[in-house]
Amino acid sequence: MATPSRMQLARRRLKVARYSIGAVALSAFAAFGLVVRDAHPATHSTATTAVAPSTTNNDSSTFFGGSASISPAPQTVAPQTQSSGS
Amino acid sequence: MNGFRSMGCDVLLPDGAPLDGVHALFDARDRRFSRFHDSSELNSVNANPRGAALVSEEFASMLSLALDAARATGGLVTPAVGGALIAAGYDRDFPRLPLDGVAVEPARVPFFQSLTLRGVALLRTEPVILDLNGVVKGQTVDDALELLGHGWVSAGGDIATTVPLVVGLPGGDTITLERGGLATSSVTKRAWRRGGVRQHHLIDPETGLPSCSPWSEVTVAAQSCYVADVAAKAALLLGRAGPSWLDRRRLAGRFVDHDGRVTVSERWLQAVPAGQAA
Repeated sequence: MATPSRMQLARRRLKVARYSIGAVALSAFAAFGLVVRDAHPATHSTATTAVAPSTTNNDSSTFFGGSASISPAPQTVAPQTQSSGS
Repeated sequence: MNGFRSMGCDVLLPDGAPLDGVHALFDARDRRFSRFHDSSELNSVNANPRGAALVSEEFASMLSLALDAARATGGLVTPAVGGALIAAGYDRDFPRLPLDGVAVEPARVPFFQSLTLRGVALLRTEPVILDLNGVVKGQTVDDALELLGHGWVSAGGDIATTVPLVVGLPGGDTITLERGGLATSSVTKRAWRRGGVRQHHLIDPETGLPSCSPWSEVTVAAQSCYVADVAAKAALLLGRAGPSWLDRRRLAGRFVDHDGRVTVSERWLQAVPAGQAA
């Protein structure tokens, strides 16, 4: 059997390299597609993270939950702290 | 007074309250969420502002709260304002900000719906520079109080308490916050000029420019400091519609205009009748 020429060997190496690159690219594309699909809101009932203590809905009355209790301050007591904005 | 400085403001606790854990919490949040620490996770995420990114669980939790705030306020208080803040000139820590500079152009604020969070996977369908300042401080005050278990925490106008606390308000009034959160949003403190025009850090998402609200300071009482802070920002950005917007959400709010005149929401008036604020 004739020994493959250096040119034939080079073509074979090139073919293997092309298949390898194609396989890696296909895997990367599939992985990216899965991440994007998983992140898309249409694939889930909510779009919020499972690790967060969030309200996960659009009902602003639920979010705000009503006022804190406030009352007039005694005239003789100096403020203990200030709410003056930042 | 018992306290320390972090997140660009004074953090105060009752006399005798242990500082170490609270101080560590504030500093850790500042390192992770500040736009002004080169190594912060926020800056790392913003370095590639489009496409998919994996973030830490703590980052995901805070961003999730920011997205909740955006939904609850119809996009008024949004984490997508980072680009507009930078365009307005707020591109470095406030003490290092030049007092004036070249005129600014408005930067479009992306819709918060451009951001999708699933677990720790973040997807941005258009370039978004995040700024979580709208929620980080208020939530950290709440978390610090939970760490203490009892008492109160105050950080640059944001307060959470489990005990009755006498609080000074813009313009000199005082009230007692029995329990919960109180926050004041202000355009008077962090202000600078570009092209001779006054700028501040509360961006109107519709214009991409600092808000032209008639209010200079808005104070809101809510069940938590995080919610009070979000509501105060939204009410300020809403302008004249702010008081009724708070009333529809059963929140007490106090508004100070640029001439120092005070307006209160119905809820505030019921709790602190006119003339009874000290």
